[in-house]
Amino acid sequence: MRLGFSNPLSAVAKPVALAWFILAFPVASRWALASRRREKAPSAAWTSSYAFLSLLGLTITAFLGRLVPVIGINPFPVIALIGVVAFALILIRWITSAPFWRSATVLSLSVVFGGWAAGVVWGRIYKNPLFLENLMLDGKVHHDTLHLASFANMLRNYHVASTGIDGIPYIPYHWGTPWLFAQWSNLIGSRVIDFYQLGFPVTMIPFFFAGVLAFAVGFRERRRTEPADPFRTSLSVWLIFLAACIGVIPLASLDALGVWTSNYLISESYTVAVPAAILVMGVAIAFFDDATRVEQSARGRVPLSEWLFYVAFAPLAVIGLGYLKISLILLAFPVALYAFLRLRLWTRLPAVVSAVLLIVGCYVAYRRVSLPGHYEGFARFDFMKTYVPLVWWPFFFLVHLAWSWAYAAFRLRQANVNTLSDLRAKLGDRSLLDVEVLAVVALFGLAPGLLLHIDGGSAFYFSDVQRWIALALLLSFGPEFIRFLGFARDLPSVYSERQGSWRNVSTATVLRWFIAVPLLVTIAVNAAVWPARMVRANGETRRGLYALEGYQGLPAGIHAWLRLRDPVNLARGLAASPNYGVTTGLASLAAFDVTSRRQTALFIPQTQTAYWTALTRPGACTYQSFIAPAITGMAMIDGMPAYGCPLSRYYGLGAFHPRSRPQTNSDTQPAALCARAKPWGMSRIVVATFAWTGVMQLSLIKCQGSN
Amino acid sequence: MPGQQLIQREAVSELTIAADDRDTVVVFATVVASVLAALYYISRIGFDNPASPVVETLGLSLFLSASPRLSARLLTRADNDAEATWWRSQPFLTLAAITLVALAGVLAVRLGINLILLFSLAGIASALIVLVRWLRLGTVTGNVARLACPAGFGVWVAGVAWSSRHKSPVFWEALVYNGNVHHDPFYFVSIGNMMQTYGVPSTGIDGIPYTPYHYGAAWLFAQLAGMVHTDLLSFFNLGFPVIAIPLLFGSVLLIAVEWKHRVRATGGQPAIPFRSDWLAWAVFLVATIGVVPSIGLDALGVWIRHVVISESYVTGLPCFLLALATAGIFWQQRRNARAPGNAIFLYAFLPLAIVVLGFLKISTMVLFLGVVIVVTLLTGQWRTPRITVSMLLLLVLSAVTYRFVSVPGQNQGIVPFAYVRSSVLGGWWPFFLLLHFLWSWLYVGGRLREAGVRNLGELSDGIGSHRLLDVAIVAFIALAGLLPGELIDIHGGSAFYFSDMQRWTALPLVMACVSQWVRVLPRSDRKPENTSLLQRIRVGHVWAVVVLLPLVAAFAINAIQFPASAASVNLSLRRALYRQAGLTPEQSPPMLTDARVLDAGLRRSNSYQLLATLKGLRELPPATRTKSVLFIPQSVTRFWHIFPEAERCTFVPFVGPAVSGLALLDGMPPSDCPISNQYSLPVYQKRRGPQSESDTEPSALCVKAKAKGFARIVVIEQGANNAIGVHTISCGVRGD
Repeated sequence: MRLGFSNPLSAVAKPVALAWFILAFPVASRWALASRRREKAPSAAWTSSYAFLSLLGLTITAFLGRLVPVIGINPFPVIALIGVVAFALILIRWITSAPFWRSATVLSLSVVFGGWAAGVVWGRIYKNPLFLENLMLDGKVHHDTLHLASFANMLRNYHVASTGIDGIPYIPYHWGTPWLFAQWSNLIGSRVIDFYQLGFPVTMIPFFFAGVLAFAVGFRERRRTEPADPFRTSLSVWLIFLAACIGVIPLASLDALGVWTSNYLISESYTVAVPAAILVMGVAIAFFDDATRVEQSARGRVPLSEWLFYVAFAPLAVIGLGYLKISLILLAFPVALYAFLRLRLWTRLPAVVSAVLLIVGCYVAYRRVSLPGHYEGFARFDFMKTYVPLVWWPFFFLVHLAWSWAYAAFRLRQANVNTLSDLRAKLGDRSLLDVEVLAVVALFGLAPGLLLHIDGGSAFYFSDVQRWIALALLLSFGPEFIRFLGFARDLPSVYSERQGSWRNVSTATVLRWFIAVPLLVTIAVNAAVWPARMVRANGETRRGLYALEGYQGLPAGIHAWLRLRDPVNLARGLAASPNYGVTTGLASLAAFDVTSRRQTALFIPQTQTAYWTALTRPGACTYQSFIAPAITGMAMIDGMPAYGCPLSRYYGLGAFHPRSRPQTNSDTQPAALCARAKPWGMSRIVVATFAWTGVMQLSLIKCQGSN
Repeated sequence: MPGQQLIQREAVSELTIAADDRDTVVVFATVVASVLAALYYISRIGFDNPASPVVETLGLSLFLSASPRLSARLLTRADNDAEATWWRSQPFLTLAAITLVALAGVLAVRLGINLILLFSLAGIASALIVLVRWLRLGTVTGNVARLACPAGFGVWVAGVAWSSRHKSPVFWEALVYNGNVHHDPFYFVSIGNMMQTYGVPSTGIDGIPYTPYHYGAAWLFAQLAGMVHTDLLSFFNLGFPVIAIPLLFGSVLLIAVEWKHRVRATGGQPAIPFRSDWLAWAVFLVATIGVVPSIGLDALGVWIRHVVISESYVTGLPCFLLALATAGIFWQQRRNARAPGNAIFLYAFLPLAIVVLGFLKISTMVLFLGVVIVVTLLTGQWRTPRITVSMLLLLVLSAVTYRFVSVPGQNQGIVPFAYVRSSVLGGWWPFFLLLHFLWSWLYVGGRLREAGVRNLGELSDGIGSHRLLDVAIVAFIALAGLLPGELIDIHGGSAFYFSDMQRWTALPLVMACVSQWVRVLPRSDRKPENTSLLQRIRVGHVWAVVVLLPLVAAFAINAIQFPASAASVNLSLRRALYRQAGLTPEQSPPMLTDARVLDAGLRRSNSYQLLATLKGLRELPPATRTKSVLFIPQSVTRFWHIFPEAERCTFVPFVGPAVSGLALLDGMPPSDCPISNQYSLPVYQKRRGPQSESDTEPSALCVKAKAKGFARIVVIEQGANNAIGVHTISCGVRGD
């Protein structure tokens, strides 16, 4: 997507290596642990579980990234080497453990799926391989990314959760992913704004799906006494997976029922938090399944691992989820409490301590991450009213929760639950705890959107969580679920029935394929929508740049992407773009060394219309402030939007004082600016202005007491 | 068995179930027609609203529904199906009743011998006889509940028919007020009027050149309008819903009953009376009203409203179904190949049916012909010379009829998947085959399961042995109905009228079978009687509720939205007329039925004088009308701008012939108006330039009129203050 633009290979290779490390770490660690103990299989302890090790790998990379600016040494080459080698070993072992065509099929499918995921994340204006180029060209980029990059930059450089548009006051927000991305930016040595465009998709989208699949594998294994069929051979598993991720009915119709197929990959906080939550569940399951621990507990002993789980892991994990995504803490907390009650954990001292820690910790965390601007009071059926056409309301609960309904129906049938009496009996012996937990997540997930107004459709991030848990659970039952749906065998064997005379093809098979074909075609069509959109958008950017150079009769859309790749023309187009000077000028400030940056604030006078009108989407004036912190990594002084601009009540803007009058000349005097910078410990101010040509000019104000 | 309990409780013996089922069909149609007539009358309270056309129309509708039932009973001695040969069957007798009514209409229009009183009384009396007999077999509560269902359906269907701008009880008033009505009715009524006035099927925009179109329904309704002493435009809004809609749904139900009693075996189990077969009724309501939002059905090209809106379809479809049923009965009971009835069927009924269907709706002719040929081929009857001759005759007649009724402009060339591309919402096309033809697939699937067909070989054998001929016919109608729209671009989504016919063929068959299919479904063992509530509630039922609740809710929304919309449109017009009469909303009473106020509001409308003048021309003696032609100069802006939207200028001319009953002279739209290539407009010459003064001179007009066979020109003029006047030009032709 960046062919023809500045496109160093290392910028792509580094996030890939990081992703391989994160994804390979749990498997490699389990090998290492097993080989150290000279066992064939890894230990069943929760600390050896894939889920825990996966979370651990993530955490290690984050803390290593945090150490980079502290110790001045970057361990990324080691991380990258481990990632590449571990991934290579896993891949080789995986390929050689089955007929090649099966592996090749899954690999091909993965490539296509990757293309689809790229389309989703880059097919809208939130994230884009040409994000900065689009900003330069016409300023039509989404402000969310700028807001989040500002946050991450402030966390990276000032260690404060703030957007830094007028100093660096703390802003309550689930800033876990900005923090995480800031550390990973340290690790791979990239700008945060670039990491959002490339690093996030490359590392976290695979992590999202890996989390779901890993949970499915783990949940499947715990039920089995003998090895199960590998996922790789089960077409049914992949079809269920694709159906849930891509959708089996047209996208417009899914949208009409509030089942959004792109948001879960666009919202980075959600993309990170959901697999993290699922892996936390995986750790919990591993903990409760650990026979050794159960045996020790039965003897009245409380093993150390139990203390660790209850007192350290569980509270930290739930609180951590809150920092990643506020919706997840609001779902994890009731689930944890529900489990506490249903498993009668009050008889276990560590569990009681854990519960207390959890309650206190969640309360504190909630206060730290919840933005007061989002408290907008009671609003009945707000999500439905806003996003679901009235005529489709009756179907909302059925379709929005379809995967949860499917899992519940399947499990009840599987458990031979025929009557409510049977159900009560099964609930009594806790054999349907998975369904219960899913129901808790579904109900608590629906509640916010049905009771409150949550801006920007963010209620979706509550109600959609059940989809991924249900999917993970369903995948663990793949072939059985397909049989439950009426397909007597797994799909590949159905195909073999066609052998022989057409007269032998069963009518049931014809019927199944008659129903299945539209669904499969729709998956394929849906899968093509986003990549096509991405390529088209990319082509349009190129076309816009060529047009600035005076070219006529340019191809449009996908053709533009194919043909408009000349680096010289693109570079000229960029240089002629309206926001070129602002963007490149600000980007040059990102090169400031970290130490001096911490003491320096950025000031852009309101007279600098080149900056204050850079974003061009409707209502963009309120978001102009985020451009500088997002690109430079520096906090601004007196950077609130212009007087008269209607301010958004979200995006943490409420933490700053809105202008009560237009900026005056006296406001821009060094003394006034230093007075504003001083409370934040900043002793230098860089004043950026832009000439009519767009070229940035800098002047430095040294406040009293600065060196 | 719930059905059985009902049978015992309501004293319906198995012996009378067939009779009762046929009565149920009549009662359904009677109630629907009565509700429609009543709603029409209620909707017009406060406007010019004589009761006699409504009652007479209702009488005609009941005649078509109830008299065939009584006739069949008389002819077959207590509903003995074995005796009911095709010409004594209720489907055929219904077709005969339609023919009889049409002939009576011709008598009334051409000879002035009006038998409307006779037909109305016969219809009302027949319906009452059947109703009383039907009521006697049920309990009071059961009867009330069962009458409420068709009454509710009648309200819904009235809502669908009258919530669009195509038809409305206050169509005339809406036209007068601001012209916010659809132009289709004017096209249809123009043709009907031209046939009534001049005996030529034409839209009469510039003389009366022949206009190829399936104008059978227009002709039929023109005759019926003559019978009930009303103009065709008014009758179009009254007679069509009150007569054709109950006839359509009554026919669907009748096919279900005929299929159930003549063809289906109960497998030793007692038959469930149709009146108690809630599953069959549920299927009927799901297929008609729908259980997903109507916009969702639209997305799949399943248009709920069109079946009620398109007058030619609603008239042609029941005739198609009844003809198909008659043919089915013929094939089923044809024991003696040399019986005289056979020849009549092959050489009279089938050819006539093909021709009539072609004139009613071209799609019904094409598919009926296809079915007859397929059955002939599959059953090997083509080897019988008499049948081969009959088939050849049908082919020739179809070809000839096609030339008369096919509108060239409708065929817009070969465009693969034209219907799917134009009418199916993006993204839903992979589901088109599955969902557009859902009812056909349901029937096919149910029948295959019932017949124990396990593979394609057995299916082939079943069709070959005629055991699954019904399946083959349903599948054929589905696939053959699919082809036109997917091969040819048929203008205006009219491919729907091919592909939708399978729904109405399959629906009655599904209704006939569904209870039996459900009865043989495997059931889990019953729990002992003394179980707790939780043990009695099955999880399957809970799931069923979870799935059914949204469907029921969507059904309720679908059922309510159209009547609510129709009521809203009616009230809006009344409010507007009250305002126009000078009353503020505060001064307006809630009912808005004051005749003086409404009349005052109408009279203040811009188009009132013009339209009243045009309507007044209907009072001319028939002999004068046949020689007269109407000229409305382009300077009469009241006429040429009657529709509020400028882009509808191309349809304005139809208003003249539709309202006045006279053909226009030089009535093509202004030269700057983009002329549609539909609505038979290409049969006329487009204006090359603006109409000049010389074009409006009497001598010039007379030259044109004489060339088109007219001796008298009625000229509409618009004077100062937009006053509308009329004068006549006599062109001095001998005999004038």
